[in-house]
Amino acid sequence: MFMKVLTANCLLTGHPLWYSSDRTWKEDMKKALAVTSSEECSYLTRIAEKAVANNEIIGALWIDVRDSNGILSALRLRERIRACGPTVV
Amino acid sequence: MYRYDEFDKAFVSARVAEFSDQVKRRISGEMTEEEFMPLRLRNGVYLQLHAYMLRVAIPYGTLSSDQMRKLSDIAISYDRGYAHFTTRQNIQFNWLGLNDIPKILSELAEVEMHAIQTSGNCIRNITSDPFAGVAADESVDPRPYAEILRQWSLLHPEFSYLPRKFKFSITASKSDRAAIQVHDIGIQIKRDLSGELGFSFYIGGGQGRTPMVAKLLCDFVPIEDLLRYVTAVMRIYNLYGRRDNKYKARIKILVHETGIKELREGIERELSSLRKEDLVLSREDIDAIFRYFRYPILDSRSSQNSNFRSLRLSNESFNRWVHQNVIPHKHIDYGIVTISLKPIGGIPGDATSKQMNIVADLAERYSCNELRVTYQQNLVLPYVALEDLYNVYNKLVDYGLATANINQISDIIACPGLDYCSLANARSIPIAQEVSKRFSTYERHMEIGDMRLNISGCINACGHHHVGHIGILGVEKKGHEYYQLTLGGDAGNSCAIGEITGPGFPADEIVNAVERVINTYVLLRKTNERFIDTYRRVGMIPFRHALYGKSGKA
Amino acid sequence: MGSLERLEFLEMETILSDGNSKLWGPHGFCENLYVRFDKFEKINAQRAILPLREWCLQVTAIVENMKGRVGVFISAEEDLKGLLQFLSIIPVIALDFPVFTDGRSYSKAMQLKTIHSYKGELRAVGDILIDQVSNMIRCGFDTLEVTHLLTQKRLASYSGEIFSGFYQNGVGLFRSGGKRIWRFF
Repeated sequence: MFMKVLTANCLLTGHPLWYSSDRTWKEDMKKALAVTSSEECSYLTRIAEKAVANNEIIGALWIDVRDSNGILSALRLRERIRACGPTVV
Repeated sequence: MYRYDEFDKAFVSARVAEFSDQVKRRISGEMTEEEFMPLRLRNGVYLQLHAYMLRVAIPYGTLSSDQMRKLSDIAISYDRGYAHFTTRQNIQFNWLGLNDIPKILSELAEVEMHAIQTSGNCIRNITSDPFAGVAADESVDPRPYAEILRQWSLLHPEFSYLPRKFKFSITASKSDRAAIQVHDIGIQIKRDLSGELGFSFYIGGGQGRTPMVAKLLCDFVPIEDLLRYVTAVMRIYNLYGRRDNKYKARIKILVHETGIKELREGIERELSSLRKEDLVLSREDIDAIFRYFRYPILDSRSSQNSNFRSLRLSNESFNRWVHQNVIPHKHIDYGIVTISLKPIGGIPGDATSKQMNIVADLAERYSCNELRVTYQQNLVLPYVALEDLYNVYNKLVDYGLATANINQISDIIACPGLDYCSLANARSIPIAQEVSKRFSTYERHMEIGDMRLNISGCINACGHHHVGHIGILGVEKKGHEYYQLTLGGDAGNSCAIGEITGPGFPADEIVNAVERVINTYVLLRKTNERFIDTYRRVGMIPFRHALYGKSGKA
Repeated sequence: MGSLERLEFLEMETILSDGNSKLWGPHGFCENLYVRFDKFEKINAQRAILPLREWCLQVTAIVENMKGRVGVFISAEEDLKGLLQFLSIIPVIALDFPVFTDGRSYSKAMQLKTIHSYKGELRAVGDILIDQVSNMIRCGFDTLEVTHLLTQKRLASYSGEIFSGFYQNGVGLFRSGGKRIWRFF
């Protein structure tokens, strides 16, 4: 089943951001808005384009996620590391 | 080491002002990311997985105590209290914001440091032998020549938009400690039979997707032609290097596709077309640069050496550390100390702010204020009196910097990998930590002996896996981390690219695979034969059998 | 639908360039006397610029009818070789920068000015942003044909100081402060 969230980086800090259900870009992936339809994707793509044009974010892209007991987690290890930080201290 | 003159200082200040302006224009939206990216790259600013990363240049790996202290300050004030030393003798800060970077660059300028051209399609940091100036086997200190090349290459108007990045390495010893044969241009300074100084010129070495050992372009070029020669080569590369395919844009591909003979002819034609008087390096100019290198005057410290000897006899761990981490110096009363940034189970090449300060203090007190960074991601105190080694050692022990493992199995080169780097496919640091822990004992280290184990998290090979005696390359396979093993690589005089053993191993198998390779080596070796020499003698087959069984399957 | 990869964010190119190019040199904006044509027979101006291949094909006609008034446009991948014997009658050479990251024309500029002693007007055309201007001048370009609006705006207040204080002296147009050999060209 297709489930995606929109992620980007903050222009100023470089921190990873995820587009959240409260329509802001947040540094917490757990609050990300998961979309499951192509219409939602298109709509949010336009939102992202505006945010890029407004210089709020850079490099937006869609990533695949899954829902494990109500918690969103990215399918790709790379995206999980972006969400949780380096696995080494 | 080189001290900036007024011109150098003004140059760096102007560049800081220019980049600050570019950052402002980016933040205001006057400049797009597409326009900004090449500009920020040539100021060493990357966007990585978690934040902006700044790569600060440490020219030919030499720095002063004050500079190290400033780097430590930056790590504490703007970053998360640590930094990473790289395989090109640079330093990286991982957690920066874009707004802070102009301020950081300003602070770096105060101590004669910068981040210019540490990234981007331009000429990068000129690397050199970490023991330059103090090694017994060099014909001359290569660093003033590296400094000449550095100045020549900084914001060179013709060579700022190359097909791809360009890396120089320069050495002046018979023994290559600067990996010159895996650089785009590798220079070995030497003397001819009459004692005249000149250099051998290697071209087209490199790692990454298509690793290649450099070809010898010219065996002896007189030293005064250094800049003419590099200009001719760079011009040919700039004009004819491929620009259609990012993965075929390095000079090694131009060498491979054109052929060294034809390329040499083209370069020589270009060289002879230069005006006779252009770029000839005069004795006067060389002397001027040497004058800006302040060499310390080393006092004789011989009368107390017996203290050093008796300490070695009475203190086993000190003795082991001296044996492994200290090498003979030009001056008989001194030693060259390598500070291991590879504690067992630690992150290779990382240092905390505290550790950087301690090392700066040690350099000030015991090493004429000078430090080096090695391409193996360790640090060096180049001027330590033998009599002071014990004090240095004890201080290093207190801060976890005294692991006696230089050039052994746990002295691993590892890139930051998927934990930090947006280019990576797999993590490298956890593998390095596991390898280190698997072979952690002194006995195992000594049993294995000389070993260069290098790990890269992707095909870009920043961890130099291609030239590791044992190389590990992380790849992504079906969403999981897999690791390919290579054997027989070498970064020194007998430069060689490692050979892939066969199918890769999952993350929980790779260290077992490494252990099987090591055990096979121990079984097959002759007395005192290093791993790399055993491999060259017996070949891949016994190792393949050990890894995959006679059937060849993993 | 399949999985979306990276989103394409179209830059608002329309506000960045309106096709109206201005010719700039270190002494300020100047009039562009040359008109670009792709074929000799199409030339209907006093002064023209032709692409390299066409110029070489038509050299006899040019010498007979418009000697000294037809310049050459050289694209990034083209070589200077065919042109070298004619340099003395070429009033302007336009070297192309198809994208600002393509640096081939810098080398050609250096060759023309320092090796072949080209005395005519060396012009940079194409994707020129403010950040490449000093490189271009230092490589010997006399003029820049700029279409990027923000670059035009910035050039209007450009000062000559930007050309000094570099290690490499460039082609002798602007001196830098130092005296060492790699600070002279």
